[in-house]
Amino acid sequence: MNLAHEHVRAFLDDAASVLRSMVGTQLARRIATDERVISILVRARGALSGFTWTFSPEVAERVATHLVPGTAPDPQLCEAAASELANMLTGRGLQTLAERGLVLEIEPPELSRGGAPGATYVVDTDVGVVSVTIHS
Amino acid sequence: MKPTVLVIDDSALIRLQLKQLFHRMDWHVVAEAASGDDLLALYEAHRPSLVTLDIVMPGKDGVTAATELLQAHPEAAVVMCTSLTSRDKIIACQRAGVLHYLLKPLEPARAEQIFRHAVNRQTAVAS
Repeated sequence: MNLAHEHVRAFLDDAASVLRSMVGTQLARRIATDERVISILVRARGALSGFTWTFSPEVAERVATHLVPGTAPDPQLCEAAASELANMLTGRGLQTLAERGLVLEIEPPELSRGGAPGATYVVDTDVGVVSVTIHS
Repeated sequence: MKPTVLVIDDSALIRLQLKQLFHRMDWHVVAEAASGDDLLALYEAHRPSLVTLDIVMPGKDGVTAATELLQAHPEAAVVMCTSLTSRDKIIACQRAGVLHYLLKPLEPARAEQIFRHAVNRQTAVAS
């Protein structure tokens, strides 16, 4: 199914509130081309089959140091930060989607090996790009 | 005696964040796990003052684990720490007997207040 624009906007509004509190954010119109990006898949059951979030390493580092001040984020910790951020961004919008008739159960985030078709939306933060692909 | 805590969350980063927070509170994290599968056994082994529990995890999810724990040990002080805003999950946690439902990202001062309240409340009920 195609997700109506107003549902996507409401979902992204919830995600943006999380990003704003953690890394600072503004809307953007470009797509990341950085090959170092970390992609996280959150599988879902119900109205949609999942979400793939893509973060620059800088975003993941910022989240890691936000959650655990004083830490020196290594690649493993950055992946953990990206996973947790994907979990937060998806989880925050679930009630909003449910109120619009899109009821979902999500699964633990996993590093994405990519590929499934979907619609991609991009949010630019002060330290790098976050994008989400919503799989219908 | 220091309050003791059992931390259950599949994110190593969140476990680290919570351990850092409890360290600042001078509380002792006695055990941690990445799934609800071992919650009952860990609780019975350590009898912690507080259990923090995520919902979406590999294996047994947090709502199921909390329900099983609180059926066996109604005295347990359980606080959910989760990203899920779904109303049905919140209601399921309330019905299970969970004391509080904290949304991630955790705001440390608020989380500390909730954790202290949960432990104080259970201590008062027990005495």
